[in-house]
This record gives sequence, C-alpha cells and structure tokens, in this order.
Amino acid sequence: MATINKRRKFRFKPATVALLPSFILVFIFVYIFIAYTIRISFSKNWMPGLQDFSLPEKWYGTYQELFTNFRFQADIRNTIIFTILFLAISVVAGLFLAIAVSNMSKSKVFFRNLFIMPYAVSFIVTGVIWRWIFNPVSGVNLLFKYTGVSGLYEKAFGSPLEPDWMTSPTVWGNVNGLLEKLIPGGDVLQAQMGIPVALLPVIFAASWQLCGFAMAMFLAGLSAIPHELREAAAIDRASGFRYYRSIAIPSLIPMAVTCAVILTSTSLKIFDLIYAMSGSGIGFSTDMPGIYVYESMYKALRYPLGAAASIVMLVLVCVVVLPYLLRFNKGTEE
Amino acid sequence: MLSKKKIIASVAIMSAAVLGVSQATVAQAAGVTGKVEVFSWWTSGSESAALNAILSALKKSNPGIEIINAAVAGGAGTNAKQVLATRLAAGDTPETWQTHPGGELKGYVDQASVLDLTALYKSEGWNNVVPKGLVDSMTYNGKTYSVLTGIHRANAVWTNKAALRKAGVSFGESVTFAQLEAAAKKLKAAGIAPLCLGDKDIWTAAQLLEETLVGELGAATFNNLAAGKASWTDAKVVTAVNHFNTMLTWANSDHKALDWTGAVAALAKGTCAMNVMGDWAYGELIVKQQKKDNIDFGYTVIGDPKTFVTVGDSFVIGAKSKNAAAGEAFAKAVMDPKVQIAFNKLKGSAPYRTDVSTASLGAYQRAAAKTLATGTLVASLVHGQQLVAASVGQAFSDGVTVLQANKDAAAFGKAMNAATKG
Repeated sequence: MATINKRRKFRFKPATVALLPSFILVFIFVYIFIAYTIRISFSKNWMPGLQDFSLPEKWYGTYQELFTNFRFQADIRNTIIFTILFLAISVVAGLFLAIAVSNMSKSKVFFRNLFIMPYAVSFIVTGVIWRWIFNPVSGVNLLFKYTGVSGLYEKAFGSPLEPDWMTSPTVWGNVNGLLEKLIPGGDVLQAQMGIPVALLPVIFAASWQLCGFAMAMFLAGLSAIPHELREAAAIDRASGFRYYRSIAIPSLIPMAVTCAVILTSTSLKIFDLIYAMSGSGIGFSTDMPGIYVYESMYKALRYPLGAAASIVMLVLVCVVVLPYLLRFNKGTEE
Repeated sequence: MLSKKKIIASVAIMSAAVLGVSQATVAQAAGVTGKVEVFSWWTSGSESAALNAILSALKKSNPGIEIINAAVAGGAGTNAKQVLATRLAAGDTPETWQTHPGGELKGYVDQASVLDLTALYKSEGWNNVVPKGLVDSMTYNGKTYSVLTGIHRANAVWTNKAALRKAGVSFGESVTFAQLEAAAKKLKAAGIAPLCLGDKDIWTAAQLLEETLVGELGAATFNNLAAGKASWTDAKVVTAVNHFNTMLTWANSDHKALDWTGAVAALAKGTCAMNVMGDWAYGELIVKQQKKDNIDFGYTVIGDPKTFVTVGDSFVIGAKSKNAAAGEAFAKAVMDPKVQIAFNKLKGSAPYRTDVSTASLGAYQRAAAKTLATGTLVASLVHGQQLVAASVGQAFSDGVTVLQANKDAAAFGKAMNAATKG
C-alpha cells in the first residue's frame, strides 16, 4: 500500500496535465502582467520603448496625484452611483419581468426573447441610440410635448417639462461637508460628491440593456423551484403575492447574488456605453475610470498614471468578486 | 488556445517575413528597393485616397520598392497609436509612421525611436520652402524629425450667411469679442442660437477656448502659456476664459449631445449662426451639406486675421526599422511639390510648400494657403501640435470639462499653471 501511495504522489494526474498549459498561459498573461502594471504604476515616467522603472520622488506619488485629482474623484463617485442604481434597477426590473413572463401561458417564448434581445446588442449601438433619444431638443422631450405631458406639467409646476438629460451639470445632494469630516486630512475633495443628474439617462440605458439578462437568470431560478411547492402553497390557499414573497423570491436569492456580482463587474469596467452615449460629460458628470485609464495612457501618454488608475479599478472589482468566489469555493468543498 | 497547426503556420509566416526583409535590404542605383511599411490611421474615403497619392508617387520614383500600407482604423488615430506603441516596445518598427508634430513627436524623440532628418532637410533645401513656424514645430533641440503632408487651420469661425442676414449682422475678415457679443444679442433676438457647438467630445469646446485665447491674447502669449513661460492666472487670461464662458451660453441647447459634425449640420441648417471649427468643417459643408463657399457660408477669424493655428500631420522614419533608406524615399515623396497639391486637394487641407501653385484649389483653400505662407503660425495645443508634453493638452481639455460645470476661470488657471510647469 505504501509504495502505491508513494508512486501516486509523483504521477501527474491527467487533469493536472490537461490544465497545465492554460494555467501557464493565464499565469503569464494575467498575473505577470498585473504585476508588471503595478510596477509601472510606481514608476516615474515609464514609456514603451523607454523601460525606465525609476521611482518618483515619493514612491506613492502617482497614487497621491490620482486621488487628489478632480477628474478621478468624479470617476470614483460616478462608478459608485452608477453601480448601485444600475444594479438595483436591473435586478428589480429583471425579477419583475421574470415573474410576469413565467405567468404567461401563450406568448411566453415571444416575450422572453423580446426582453433578452437588448442583451444581444452591442453597447456602442445602445449608446448611440440612447444618445439620440435623450437629446433634449429632438429626443424624448418631443414625445412629452406632443402627448401633452409637458403641457400638464406646465399647468401644475409653471414651466414645461423639458429635462436636460445628459446635458445637465447639476449634482444632487452634495455631501462633501460630511465626507470631509470623515476623511482624515480634511479639505481633499475637489469634485462634488452627490448624484450627477447627467448620469441617470446612462444608468437607464445600461439597465434597459441588462435587465433582460437578469430576467433570464431569474427565469432559470423560477423553473428550478419544485412544482410541489407551488401546489402545496395553492392547497394552503396562499395568494400569488404570498407565494412569491415567502417561497419563490427567497429561493431566488443565490441567483440574485450571482446576477449582482456579474452585473457589478460589468458596471465597474464600463467604457463603451459611456464613450458612445455621453462622453465625459459636463464637469466629468458621466466620466468613468475606464475612460480615464484610456486617455491617461494613449492621449496624455502618462502610462504610470493610467496604470495606477487601472490598478484601482482592479481592486474595486476584487472587492466585489473575491468574497463571492471564496463563498463559492467553500460551497463546493462542502 | 492556439492549435499546433496554427503555431506552425505562424512560425512559417514569421520566418518568411524575416527572409523577405533581409533579401530586400540590398539597395540599387535606380531608386530604393525593398519593403517600406507605411503606418497610419488613414483608412476612410478621402484620407486613404490622399495617402494613395503619396504612395503612387513613391512607387513611380522607386519602381523596385514594395509598399506595405499598414493603416489602422478608428478613434482619430488612438487605435493606431496603441498598436504602434506595442510594436515599438516589441522592437517591430515600421519604416515610417504618421504622427502629429509637437508633443506627440517629442514623445517618440524622447524614446529615441525616430531618425533625425536635419541633414535631409539641408541637402534637399526643404528649410527654404517650408514656413519656419512649421519646421520649428517638428524641431527639438535643434534637430528636425518629421515631414509634413498638409496643414489644417483650426481657428476659423464659420458663419451661416442667411442666419446673419436675418439678424442684421455682418462680419469682416476678423472679429473681436465685443463684435461677437453684439452679434449674439441680435441673433438671439431673431430666435437663432448664436453659437453652433457639438461638444459631446470635449475637444470641440477646448478648441473654442484655444481660438478665443489665441485671438484675444495673440500668438506669442499663447505659445508662452502653453510652454509654461506665462501665467494662466494673469488677469488678461482670466478675462479671455470668462469670454469663453459667456460664449458657451450662446450655444445650441443640445450641444452636449452632438459631435462636431452635428454642429456643422446645425450651422448648415441655420438654427445656429457661428461655428468655431477647423477647416475640416469646410469639406463637411461642401461635400456633405452641399453648401456653397461664400454664398451659403462665410468665414472669419477671432483677433488677428493673419494668425493661423496649425493642425498638421507628419511622418517620421523609424530609427530601428530595417529599411531606413526606403523611409527616406517615402519622406521625399511626401515633400514632392506635385504630391503636395494632389494630397491636399483630396484631404481638404492646405499645401504648405511656399513654391507650389495653388491655382487648382478651391477659394477657401487658396486663401488659407496664402495666410499659411505669410501669416503668424501657432501650433494647436488641443490637437497636440505644441511642442510640450502630451499631458499638457490633456490637462487643457480636462480643465475645459471642469470649466463647463463651475465656470471658475481662476481655478482653471491654477490647474493649467500646475500642468505646464510640472
């Protein structure tokens, strides 16, 4: 027995052999390059062709510049606001659609496909179309005008309903005073911390595109609920609402968590939708770290700054994804 | 993952490429032979036609040359620059590539990846036929590094003549801010937005500020500001920036949802009256909007009409490329007087060689070429043509983005002082 065990220790398992090439490739092209990017972010003036890795005067200087920069502060604010609202709208709308579609008898397939369709469209296409829709002169405001909604609004509030959408420079609910008390060092906030109004149409467009994806996940979850449970609920005379509140929705929670993690990682990395729909916006009201990285590297040619910003993005994604992965691993081991 | 076959195939292709190049480096008396890889971002209609005008001239004078047109599409060159950066880092240098004179060129000079062309300028006598201001924008520490294809003018104010007539406004060959303000009042009264702006992409608003600064402060002061030799918080600069803030209030209300072509379309339609834009708008007005020069639309300049804000494209020769001789032949083709006319006719920019006849060009282009030859030249900061770090241009456009929200000219000045001196 002992000799067999010894032999087993030295033999490669077929699974290991099969996984080794992809492990090596992932190690080189993901982890080595992450390390490389971190190193660049701590260099003073790294450029391709000029492999100068010398440190700036303060070794953390680039990061200090990054976090005291108006634009990057606005970017972090936008990422957080965007993620929270986008997640809430997509998940709630997705759940609502899933329940509605699952209760249909005839046109189930048609509506399921209809709601998933936007997910198949490229972000660039979504961005361009919604830019036209939210144009304050020629877009949805005309709809308000011709349906009389704007007129009714004017009677009630005195001015016609003509939102500025993405062209608005307003930031709602400025909490700079509160935050500066919490952050050590005091007066460091350059950008207004609040909800930029111009970001709302973009959040709407993103949610429109991805709520179909959330719906598909919830539909899968709903169909996995044993039929007996529904029948038992019916025998107990539970109403439809009661059934969803006490049985269906609680059993969808693992689905919702997975969905939220996927959507969050999408939103933290978002670039193309914003780039096509609104650009950086007035006062960086719709700017995102992804755009900042791109412009720092390829327009300003400040590779260390772009590298530092991309590392901050990576950390943000890790904060969301790592706990999920750890939990998932635990689950499979058990 | 790559299959074995694919790997073998790509190794075969790579070794074939290496062999091809090494065979081709033997130059002959009649013209240059071997491969020349021309790297650019000119892939769309008129641009690629203009590039072909250079390439066919190169082939004609060097029949033995093999031209590889390695153009990368998209993103006004940002995609191409990204590809080029990776290639340079890997030591896979094209013979020649497109770059903007100024900060972008300086970046390549700092990396020692481009050849010094000073001797070529001297032996070909180019210093005598290219305006000095242009040579200066490609010269760094006394050495000249690139050849220009053509020059666009950034500081034109395009006007819709019918809209101006309706409001009872007329402009001469130049305007002051006071004149613009008076005109804006009349235009507003006539129900026309005075300014056409499409600043979904911030560079258009940045360009409006740049041309306001150049027009009100003059070429020399603007150059000093860009170089960090003058203060951006100076009272005169603050006043000019505030004029820009005022101008923004004249713009069409959907400006943030349009790009520059949208603004030109609005100008052509007459819903707004004036558009500060480079003369690439000229091509858009003539070709796409089917408008007539000096009948449907006119043009003027803020400040001195002799001031010409330049936006040029140029080509450099890779210092570590395999066939620098072919790169040099390409540079000579670019500078060929006939190519100058053919290229710029197609591209819509102005030829800059002072010894070529512009008779075959349109009225606007002829006037622009004349100002280019005799006027005061200022390299555009917004379009990366100033000989300063690219980060200064980025700070300028970031500053304009913030300015749109808080209108704080003093804070803008402070940020620019930090960026230009840093």
